[in-house]
Amino acid sequence: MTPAEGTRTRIWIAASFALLVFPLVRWTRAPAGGRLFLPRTPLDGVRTDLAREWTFLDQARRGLPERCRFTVLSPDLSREMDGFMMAIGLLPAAYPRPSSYYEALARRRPADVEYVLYYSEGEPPADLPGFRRVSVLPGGAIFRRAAAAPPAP
Amino acid sequence: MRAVLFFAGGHLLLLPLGAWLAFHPSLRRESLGVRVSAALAAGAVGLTAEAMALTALGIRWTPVLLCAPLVVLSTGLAWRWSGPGAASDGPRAHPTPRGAAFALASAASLLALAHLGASLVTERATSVDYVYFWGVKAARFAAARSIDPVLLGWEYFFHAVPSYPPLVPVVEALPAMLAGGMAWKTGPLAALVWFLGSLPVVWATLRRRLPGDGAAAVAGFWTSALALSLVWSFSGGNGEAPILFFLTVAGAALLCERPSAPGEASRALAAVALAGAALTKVEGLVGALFLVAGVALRDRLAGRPRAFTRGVALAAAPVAGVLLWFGFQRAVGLPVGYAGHGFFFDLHFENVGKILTAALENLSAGTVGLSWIFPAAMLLLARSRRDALPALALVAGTFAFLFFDYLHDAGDPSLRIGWTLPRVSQPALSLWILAAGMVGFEQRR
Repeated sequence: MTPAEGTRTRIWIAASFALLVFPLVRWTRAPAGGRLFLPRTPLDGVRTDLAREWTFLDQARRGLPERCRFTVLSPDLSREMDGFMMAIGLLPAAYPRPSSYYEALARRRPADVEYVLYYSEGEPPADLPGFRRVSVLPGGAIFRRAAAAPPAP
Repeated sequence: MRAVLFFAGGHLLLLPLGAWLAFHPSLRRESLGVRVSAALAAGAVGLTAEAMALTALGIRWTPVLLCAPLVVLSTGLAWRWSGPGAASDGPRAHPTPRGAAFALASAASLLALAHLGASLVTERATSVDYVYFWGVKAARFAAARSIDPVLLGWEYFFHAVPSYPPLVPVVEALPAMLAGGMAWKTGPLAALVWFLGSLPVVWATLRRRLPGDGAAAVAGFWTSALALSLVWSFSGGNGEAPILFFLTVAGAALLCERPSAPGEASRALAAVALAGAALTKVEGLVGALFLVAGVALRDRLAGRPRAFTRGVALAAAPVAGVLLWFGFQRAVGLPVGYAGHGFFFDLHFENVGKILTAALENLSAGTVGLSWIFPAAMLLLARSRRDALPALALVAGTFAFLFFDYLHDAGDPSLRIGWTLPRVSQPALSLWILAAGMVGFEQRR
């Protein structure tokens, strides 16, 4: 190796360590005890609001039949869209029905829904028109259609 | 248990599916690491092609049905290519370095990898798109045992970008079938696997062009910059790490070719990796085609015979990949092609200033731009940049494509640039660093 190559090598290595200063600062700024933890959801470290909704949906799906027809409701339409997108994956064999899409209400409420996953930061309602509450979970409630749902189209 | 099955099944299983490439005569003298990377690339591409074929034929997947044909093919080709004298002479690498420079560069790389690993494990680098659609597609494909055309054609699945090619969801659907469902918290760790998969190829190609310590130093910078960028851009669980893998593997293999020594390196690995990029996202196809254009231009300027023809032959791989996807779309009744952002020539030039400002703000790569600026300085100092043309073409082409894409936004595109640019610029960053390392050292020799 020539002296010039040796100099270049040292510069590149110095630059590598200069890059590492940035994550070092970020890790040291994290609160003590919160640097390394085992997350409960895939979103714990990036979006705590979505992580709460994920936790609700993950718990709710355990109370639903595998191939049910469901929708997600929330007083906040943005949360409702988030929940709808995530629930499609969390309930992979079920039939999702949107009540809204990108914060625009569906033209018609889905008629054949069997279950409503109601996500709310506050207290969920005691009932919904045509549905009865069957379970209350942290972050929301599960509602089941009171009468038999019409068959899926 | 599900998490272990999911993680192991997801990527280790790709190795026997793509082992044929590891036994290709051009790769048999490569290191074990390079051959594992080759098998990973070929396994992912082969699995995706087979998954599309089975779905188009109306055959529901099972793990055995997905794996068995590829294992048989791999075994047959490996058997054929493993005979005596089948290996071609590979290019010679510089001796493995052992000194302080190598130790320091390795330490920097390991620290960066620890940062990436810890960030992925603690879900600090998860892409929100993973729970919105990348993982969702995988879960639904596994449940439907197909690339579910009904789901992709559903008007309320528009948010999931149904026109994206299916490599990532297919690769994740296989372990989901094996494990009985998605292991959601484990999924983002795939980014680490893809990243580790590209390291042996980067290391091998740098050692071929640079003195040992120099190769270690450039590899250390590359590893640090890209590991930090993957965390900064929240690339856990989405398609960015696979695209970075495919374009880095292809780019490194093509950059290390010496036009003055034709036949030094086979293009088999690069071709498979380019097909993988095209089967992952539209940006993968764009990057692949610009990379190939840069290779043809470099070879032409160097007076290499049949530069254009060899370029066309190389471009055939990503074009075949994307035609396979379009053919699948047509066969199952989906709209053919990619979904664009508005009409093709409905451009909003009044946003040029906003686009350039937002682009500069979002190219920090988690290092206030040092990851870009330092290699830029090395490139400027190089006496000749001709050998870097493939990488420079990919960088220029990627940014031109993104600029054109952002021009379609009628409103302020700054927010979308903030969401997308940090992650879609990563293959360009990768080749920018590799090119700077290669030409920056060589002019001093």
